[in-house]
Amino acid sequence: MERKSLLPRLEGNISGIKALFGGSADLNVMRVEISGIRCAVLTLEGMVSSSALAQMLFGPLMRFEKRNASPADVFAYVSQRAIFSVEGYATADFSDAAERLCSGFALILIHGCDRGWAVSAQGYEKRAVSEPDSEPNIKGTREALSDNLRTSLALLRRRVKSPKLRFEFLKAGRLSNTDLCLVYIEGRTPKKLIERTKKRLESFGGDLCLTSGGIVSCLSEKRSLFSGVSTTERPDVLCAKINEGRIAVLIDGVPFAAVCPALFIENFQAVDDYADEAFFATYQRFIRFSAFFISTLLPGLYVAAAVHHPEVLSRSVLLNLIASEERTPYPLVAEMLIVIIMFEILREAGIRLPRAIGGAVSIVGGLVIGDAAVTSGLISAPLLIIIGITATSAFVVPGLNPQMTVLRIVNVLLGGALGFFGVAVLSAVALVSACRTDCFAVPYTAPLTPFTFKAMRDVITRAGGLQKKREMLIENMNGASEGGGKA
Amino acid sequence: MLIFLLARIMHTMLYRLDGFQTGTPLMLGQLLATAAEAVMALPAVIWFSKRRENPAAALGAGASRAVSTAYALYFTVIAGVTVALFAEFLQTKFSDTVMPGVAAAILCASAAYCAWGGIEGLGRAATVVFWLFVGMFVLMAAVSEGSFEPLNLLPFSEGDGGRTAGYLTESLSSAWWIPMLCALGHHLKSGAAKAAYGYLIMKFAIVETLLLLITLVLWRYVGVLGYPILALGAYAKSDFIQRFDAINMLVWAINCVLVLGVYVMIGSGAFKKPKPGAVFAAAAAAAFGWWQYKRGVKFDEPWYICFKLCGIILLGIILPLTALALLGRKKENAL
Repeated sequence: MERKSLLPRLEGNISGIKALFGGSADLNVMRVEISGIRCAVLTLEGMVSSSALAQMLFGPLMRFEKRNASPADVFAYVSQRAIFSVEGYATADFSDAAERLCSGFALILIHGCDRGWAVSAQGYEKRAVSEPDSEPNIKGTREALSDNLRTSLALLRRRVKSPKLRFEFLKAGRLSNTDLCLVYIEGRTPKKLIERTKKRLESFGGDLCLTSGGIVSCLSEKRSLFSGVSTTERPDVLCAKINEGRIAVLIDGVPFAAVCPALFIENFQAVDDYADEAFFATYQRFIRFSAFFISTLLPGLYVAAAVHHPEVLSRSVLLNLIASEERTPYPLVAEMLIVIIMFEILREAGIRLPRAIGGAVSIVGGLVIGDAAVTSGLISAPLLIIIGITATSAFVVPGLNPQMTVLRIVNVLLGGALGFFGVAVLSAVALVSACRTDCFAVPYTAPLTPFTFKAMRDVITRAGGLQKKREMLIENMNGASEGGGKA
Repeated sequence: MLIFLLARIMHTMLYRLDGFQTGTPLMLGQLLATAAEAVMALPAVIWFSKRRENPAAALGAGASRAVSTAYALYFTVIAGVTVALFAEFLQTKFSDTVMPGVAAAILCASAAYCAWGGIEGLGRAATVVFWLFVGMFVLMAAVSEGSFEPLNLLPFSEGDGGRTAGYLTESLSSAWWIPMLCALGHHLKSGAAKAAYGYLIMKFAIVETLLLLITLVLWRYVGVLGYPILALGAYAKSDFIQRFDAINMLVWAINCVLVLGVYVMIGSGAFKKPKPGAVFAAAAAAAFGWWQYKRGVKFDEPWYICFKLCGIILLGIILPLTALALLGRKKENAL
């Protein structure tokens, strides 16, 4: 955008801004006269609150009376003496004025003055703070981050009532000019991590920044099956993570924050772990780890064992399997793929449809189709049991669902074609892929490998005082690879 | 360190031991080989205690390039033979599962992918695979129906001296972890001495334990089974799993991909761009492995033992010694 200075003529400024917006219909121009000086208040439709404007802007403006007032007097009153809002900025060029308008400011232009005054009057419609649908819990907070950046900031500030909690604003997207906010705790997050995150975000090259995915890929160092950047919609989780020395990026219009660096083992931790007794939390961790391996490997191993390595199965299992598979018309691999794809379709339908209908789809899919398929002999009962266990396990670790889904299907294909050899090769490739993933020099697989004994207390078990250990891990790793970037 | 260990165990487990007899002579051979390797590794360890760079760098740009090419050739050949031996293992024991050519191609393609990520990813993955191996071993021991037979540990008999010497030679020729140490030593965070001697202690403990267990439980039966991989699970049986052969193969296939990834990564060092280099090195290993498989390569072929020994002496001992001599001369000139 060309940096052209505002003119001393009101009409020239109005037409200049209109030209910048190309005559866009949502640009409102309200002309007023204050102590004989022609002025205009510019706003964008729906971006400002009418009642706020009336109370804090038009009221005080209309009360200003001064004989032989000059444009400079009006500007001085607007900018220094009258308190319209907690945020007010002088603007001297057209592009800055346009940016302020797009951010929900009201712009006051005065005839005879080559500067404008932008007053914060944001008042667009926003969703109320809702429950965290993608990360539900039993004993934690019921509040989720909001689409509105300012609301999200307030949710965080309410939980960390310390001046050390820092917010820094950035912009992303050539066209969208989306507000981003870096969130960290001064003294906990290594300075190098903050600098490198800023640098990476400044290099965001897209036109629009509408989802957290763009920010996640911008922050990720390497293309990999796994990502060293995670997302969360829970303010309590976000606070816990930044307290461990991480940095978060909030995006205006997106109720998810990107957090980095992320670790593989965090996918197996839940908020309720820290509300329950330690022994029970440890047990739940074990269940989640098991669910991950079951969901990823079980269908592939089942197909590989049944097709290529029946000798590993016990006699009774093998006989049952042969009896049930004899009745089905398709090869086991095809049968497994059909059921997995059917399950994925049902899952997708459940997500996309309204919730009331989504439940009905689950009933139709799970009970009617499943039961009918077994009764008609199209699908064997053991296979349906395997898929049932797999599908249920997949819901236990939602953070790794994309990886588990892809690995599961490829495992079935390779297990069917190459037996355990295929499963082994894919496992090795996935393992190396996870191990080579890192984010700002923190290995994704830490503290499992490279092994950090102290941090393991909150991996397999849930020990008290966990934050200090994890914080040490992240700070040490950043410090080790970046020449001591501790704050 | 764990990479060296996995490479060594991988190599041992792919021996085809038809008609082979385990026993105390092998355990003695292993002891002597470990002592010899400790001495052979000294030049590389001393070099890395002084400088944190590849010893080839001390020879100058031209010679360094030649040495990188030599490393690439050496490890591509070793990768090729590993692929051939693994393909033969699959063909012999799991012939209905996968065709050897397909197995070789898949192994090398996965190794190329693993090599792309660099040594850090491979090193971290090695830790997981090592513990997977330990877990598998403990699981099989827990469900084993075999019994220990102390009589199998009878002392030496006639002709055992020759067997010990043969095993010692073969074991020394398998010490290509020393050139690997020279190629990868500058990546080691814990230091070359710790890695080298940690490896030797762990290798000695693991291989001797395996030999002891196999001797006590199986003895001549190893020769009937053919492969130590399968010997490990020969008596293992549970209500859930009848035979452990395929499960052993699964763990060894994971190990094979990882170890090949390391060989391919070193092989790609001869190229300016590592990623195309890794693809080329993996393709060369696959082609060489396929050729070796077709001609029926054996782990104890004289040419292969000579080739391995020459590489160990030239790239693992003479190269760091030369680099040390040049470093000493530079210091003298500076004084």
